[in-house]
Amino acid sequence: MERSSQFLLCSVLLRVVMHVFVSSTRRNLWKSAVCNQVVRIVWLLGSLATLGTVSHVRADDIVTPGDAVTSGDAVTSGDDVQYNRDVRPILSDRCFACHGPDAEHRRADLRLDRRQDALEAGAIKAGNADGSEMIQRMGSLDPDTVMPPPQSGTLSPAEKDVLRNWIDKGAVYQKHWSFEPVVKVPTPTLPDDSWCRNPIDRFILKRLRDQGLNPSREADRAVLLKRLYLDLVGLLPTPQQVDAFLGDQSSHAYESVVEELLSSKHYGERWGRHWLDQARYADSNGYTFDNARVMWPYRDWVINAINDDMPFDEFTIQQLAGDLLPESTPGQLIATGFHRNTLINEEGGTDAEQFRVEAVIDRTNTTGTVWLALTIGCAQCHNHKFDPISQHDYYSFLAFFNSTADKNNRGPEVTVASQYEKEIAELEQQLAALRIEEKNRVADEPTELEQWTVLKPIESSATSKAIFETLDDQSLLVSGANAIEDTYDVRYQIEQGTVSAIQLKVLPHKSLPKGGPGRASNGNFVMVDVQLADSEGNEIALDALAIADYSQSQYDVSQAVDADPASGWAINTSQKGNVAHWAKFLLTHPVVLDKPAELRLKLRFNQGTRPYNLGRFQLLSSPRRPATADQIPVRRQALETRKKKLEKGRVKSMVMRELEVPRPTHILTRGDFLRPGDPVSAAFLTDLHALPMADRQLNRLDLARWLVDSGNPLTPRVMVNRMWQKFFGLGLVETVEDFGSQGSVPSHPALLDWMAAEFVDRGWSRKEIHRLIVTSAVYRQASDIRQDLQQKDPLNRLLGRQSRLRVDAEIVRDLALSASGKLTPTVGGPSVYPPQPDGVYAFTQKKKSWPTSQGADRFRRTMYTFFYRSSPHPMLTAFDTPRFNVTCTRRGRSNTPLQSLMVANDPGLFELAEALADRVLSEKETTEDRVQQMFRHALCRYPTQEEMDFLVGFLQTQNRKFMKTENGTESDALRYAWIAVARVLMNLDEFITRE
Amino acid sequence: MNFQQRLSRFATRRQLFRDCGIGLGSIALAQLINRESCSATGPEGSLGVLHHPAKAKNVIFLFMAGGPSQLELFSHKPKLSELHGKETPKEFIEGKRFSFLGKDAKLLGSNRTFKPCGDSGVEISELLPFHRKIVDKLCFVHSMNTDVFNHGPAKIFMNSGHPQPGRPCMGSWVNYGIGSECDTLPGFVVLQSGPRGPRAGAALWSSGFLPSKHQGVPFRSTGDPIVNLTSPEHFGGQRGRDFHDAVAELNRQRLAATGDSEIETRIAAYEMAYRMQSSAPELMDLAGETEQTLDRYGAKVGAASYANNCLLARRLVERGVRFVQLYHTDWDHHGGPGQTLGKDLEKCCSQVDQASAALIQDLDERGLLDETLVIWSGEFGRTPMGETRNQKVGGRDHFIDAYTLWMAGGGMKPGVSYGATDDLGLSVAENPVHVRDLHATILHALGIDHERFSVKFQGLKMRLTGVEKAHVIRDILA
Repeated sequence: MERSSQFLLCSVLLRVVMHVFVSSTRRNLWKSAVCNQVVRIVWLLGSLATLGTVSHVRADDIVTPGDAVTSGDAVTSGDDVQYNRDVRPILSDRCFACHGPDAEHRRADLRLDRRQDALEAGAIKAGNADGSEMIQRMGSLDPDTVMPPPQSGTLSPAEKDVLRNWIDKGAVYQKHWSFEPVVKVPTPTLPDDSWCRNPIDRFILKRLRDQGLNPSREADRAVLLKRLYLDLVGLLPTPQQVDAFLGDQSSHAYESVVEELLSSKHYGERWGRHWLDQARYADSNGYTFDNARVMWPYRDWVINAINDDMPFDEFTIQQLAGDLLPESTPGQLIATGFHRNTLINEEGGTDAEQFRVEAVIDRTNTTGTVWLALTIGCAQCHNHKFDPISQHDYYSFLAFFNSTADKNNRGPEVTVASQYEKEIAELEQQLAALRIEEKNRVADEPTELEQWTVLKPIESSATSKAIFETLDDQSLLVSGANAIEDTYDVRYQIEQGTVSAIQLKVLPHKSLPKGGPGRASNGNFVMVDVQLADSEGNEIALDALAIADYSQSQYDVSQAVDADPASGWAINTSQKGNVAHWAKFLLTHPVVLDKPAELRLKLRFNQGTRPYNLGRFQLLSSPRRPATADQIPVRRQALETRKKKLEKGRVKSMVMRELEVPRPTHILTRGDFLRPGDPVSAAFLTDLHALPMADRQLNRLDLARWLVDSGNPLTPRVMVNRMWQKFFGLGLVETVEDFGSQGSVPSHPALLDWMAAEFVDRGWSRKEIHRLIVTSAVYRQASDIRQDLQQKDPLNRLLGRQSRLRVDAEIVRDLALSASGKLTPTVGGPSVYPPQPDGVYAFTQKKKSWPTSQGADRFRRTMYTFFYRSSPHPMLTAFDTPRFNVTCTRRGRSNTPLQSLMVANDPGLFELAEALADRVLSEKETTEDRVQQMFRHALCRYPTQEEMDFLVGFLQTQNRKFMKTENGTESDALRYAWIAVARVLMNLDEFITRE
Repeated sequence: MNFQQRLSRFATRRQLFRDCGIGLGSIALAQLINRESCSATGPEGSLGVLHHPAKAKNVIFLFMAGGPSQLELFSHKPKLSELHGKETPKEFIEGKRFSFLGKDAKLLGSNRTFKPCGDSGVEISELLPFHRKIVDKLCFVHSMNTDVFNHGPAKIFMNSGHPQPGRPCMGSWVNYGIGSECDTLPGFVVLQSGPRGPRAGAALWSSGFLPSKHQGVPFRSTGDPIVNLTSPEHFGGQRGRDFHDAVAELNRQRLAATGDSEIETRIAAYEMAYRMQSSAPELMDLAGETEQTLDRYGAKVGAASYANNCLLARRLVERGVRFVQLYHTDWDHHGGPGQTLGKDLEKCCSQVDQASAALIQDLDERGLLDETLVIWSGEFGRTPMGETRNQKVGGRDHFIDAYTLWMAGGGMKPGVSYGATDDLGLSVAENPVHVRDLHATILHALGIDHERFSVKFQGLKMRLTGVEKAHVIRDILA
């Protein structure tokens, strides 16, 4: 490097360091005089170093969000001055440290942050700048009287002008910007606005122009399409979809893709996941034991609500207070699961009240963060230091949540309609019919006698290859192989006549363990299925009701004919002894045989862990059904057993329910639940937004309505800002969780307000705002880094380009599923268990159940992966998924070696690389076509020539190497080589980046 | 790279720091972190320059999960034995909360023999014969107290200064603040022994709101030490190198096309991942240690034990890993089956006594003890009252008011006992040390002023030591 360049570089470096230093000093990180000296020296060096340079980047030129309030994106005339936008930043930076709210460090007993104080002290004379001491002091040449004091640096002439102008105009103060009402300002008019596609663009373009910058070109169409897919549904477009878009020359090609994606069922998944972050959704209770819980009905509710574009006000009301709505529906109850996502501590010896209070505090703080972006939790122990929230306010707000019935337990639940509902309804009908039958039954009706004939077995076999021996009484005795799961298949000879029922007699035998009748070590068996067929193999239907002389508890004989392979008939030999029993099965339609024939009986046994097969049995048939009189109680019992079982299988979701008598709420001294102070009752944060209060005790429903009242200054701003964050990487207010005075200021305040107003005007429709954003020119820009922007706006706050963003953890795997073609697109339902590396539970107190999903469930979208708070799937944690113990409004976006190991080696992802290789091998013939196809599946664009050459070369080398090392066949080596290529593509930065 | 490009690369602090020589392992400070807090960043961690000269470089935290009984190990209370079986003074029980203990619990004297040891004359119980030999190197704090009495929350509290999950743990804070000197291994490593994992699991090494690269990485003693460390079958060895080279090449092409320096970071991350594939197994392989060293710890090649973990801890700090945390579980001696103060406590002691002592001696002999702070502690102690389980008084309940821990090396005075409890061990009699004071002291030893070490999150300046005043225990600093 040339010497002059080194000089330049050095200068820039010093300037940057200095900038950093000064801004830190301003924030009182270092207050010592020594630091100030250092600042001066650095400044001096920086100035010296820049002497004689031609042009360079001045650190001062770099745009910071704070600049927004001084330059602004709104239409302003030259002499218009606003406190928040223009004045507060100056006062806050230069004056408030000694003349602000902090009593401890206040000097001269002067406050400039409150108008009344400043006027009374004479520092400001409204309408008379020259007569104001503040202005006089600023201009003083006497180092002892000048303000700010010399070591704090002087105000620039521009800053002085702003203050002077403001005082002359009457020194009008404003509340903190986010507490002021939303004002929909007119969209800026610009001399050349041909770039703009909708009003959003005008706000953006104005600020760029003000800084002498131009927006970027529109992104390549392939990039644009992939961006839309990733942002709206979180999946990749297929090569066909890319081609269709590239080939669509119509002017509405882009807009029609937007519409298609907004109405995709996957849209609700992608945006539902963002909301679930805020709802701190997880599938386990947290803390020590972290047992599994059922909350997925709430997840389904969110996905559906977002797919239906449920207006955000309604969305809010149902989740916060669905239980308090008149005649609330099950859906509205499920929605209240939002605040049941709090933790439950199941450790022995816990104080339930302590953890109930923890949950209520979390609900309070989460509500503050999610809807208001306020850190109200600060007021848990003391008055908020920066925002107008006292401890009294905090506990009044908390009181809204303090009267629910749950107490560190599952508490109130709602039963979720399931796939069993139909069968349950049928069973209820049958039971009703039975009651009528019983009532109408003529007493003492003569009972018909059953006539049972023993059938003769002709041929028998077992899947386990067990051996059958026919005894003299035509019963079969089983020996030999004894498998954990077995099916017996026996053909019987039967004479002509009618068959209405069959009877299975299970019989003891001395060769069986404990004498049988079963082959389990205690002589028991578990028969899970009985099937009857004719000689052609056609199934003969059996009633869902069966009768036995005895069934073991939980093992009712009817469970052998209920089509559930997990339940069956057993006889509890330890209670009843090793004796004979019988079971009778009824044919739904009697079979009439006009000549001798065959009956085929299939019996299936499965206890789950050990062999529980039958040892000796005999089959009989009867032309008549067993007498009705005996049947009614038996039938009723069978039906009820089945119904109970199905009802038990119904899913219950935790919900909020208000206590009949509200729990009193007290201020908790230092936040300690054992130290209750003054009582409080539920109240809104009226400093933020006043609503006429009803003349009764307020409840959660009132709170929900207050939050989404159109006049609430925070909720709509907070929500549109979070949407913006997802589309551009940063919110217009970067601290999406803090709109208080310690949060960052908006980069485009007028745009934020304009969008907030649009959101409310358009009926709180999220899809409308999403459509607005993605069809804007600012969204459609290329994301490539531009040198001129890097210099002036390295953080891209002005949005002179789009951002390159690493996708969320769930999407990393979803993209691999998408590219490999393995994705199971089913929406909703219980959580699933995709493969995870061994040893995940080596460090947890309890090993969790992880029944790795097979088949379709293995390839579900990652948002359905079962989430244990104490040990989430390692892929999720590696890519910054929080543990959802508390609400999350923005995720980190780190870039670490553990992520690299994850994508490179995780067995669950590797099998998707294999699938991508296999897919391409079958889809295309030539090497070039295959490389191109694979590239397009993974990256959704055509490879450049350079990329193509490299990959073809890589494939060939790998192929050669695999031929040498793996001793496999040629096709094996080729397949490995293609897997190697697929694995490389899935590990590229581009693969996991939204460009 | 031309001059303009280089110039623009300095435009963000993140890039500036990288080019100022930030280690390959320490990458992109997440945008999550308020930039002001990063403003003092130097080449290593977010602090850059230490607040004051450090006494310790590394930390080894030997976490005795479950809460060892101080009354059986370190805190000799003859008066308690004298009043054994008597009512506990009412004024003491009133207003106190225990997890299992009834209001009528009687005092329980210890039947263990204590003996003054070494030049310092510190009393150690018969249960820890190896500790008796090293007391002159240890610094005991007898006046520890904490806020929460359930295992999960108390462990989270000990690690993060907050009883609920969600905050960064000590190891994460330290790595965030001063970085790690190792670029082939993570800067915060967790090892585990005992019959099960510690309660609260991963919350104990979570990086909370700090960038996830600072989270603790659990190393398993069997199989891959790190999840997914091994390349898939057929793709290891030279294929692994080929893979990494190909990924890097295509990433470089994309970097050229987009100019996004985040791609450079990813290239570096892949390179470090590749190096970890050899450095982590090398670390875990104890075969290179001498017979003498293995015997001293009681370690066995290929075994999974606290002894092996202690030896691994030494190997980790030798390699520059900043924070090593060992969990040994099963110290929860309530008195029930498997939880007695008799043979069950003896078993725990025999599992950790020798290796803990060996670690101190080994570090000392290698000149590492001066720069390594070793801490031996549970999440709380145990009550002077006996707990009745199965109609027998054979154990003690969780106790948060007074318990004992020890530290060694890293700027702590050796052979010292600090703080004291009353004659019955019911409360702290002098120099109370709260968990937050311990945190302040640990940070101090590392050259960090706990009050100036904060990160802004959700509108609050978050510190390891929290909002209440914490004190560095200056009396025990060498």
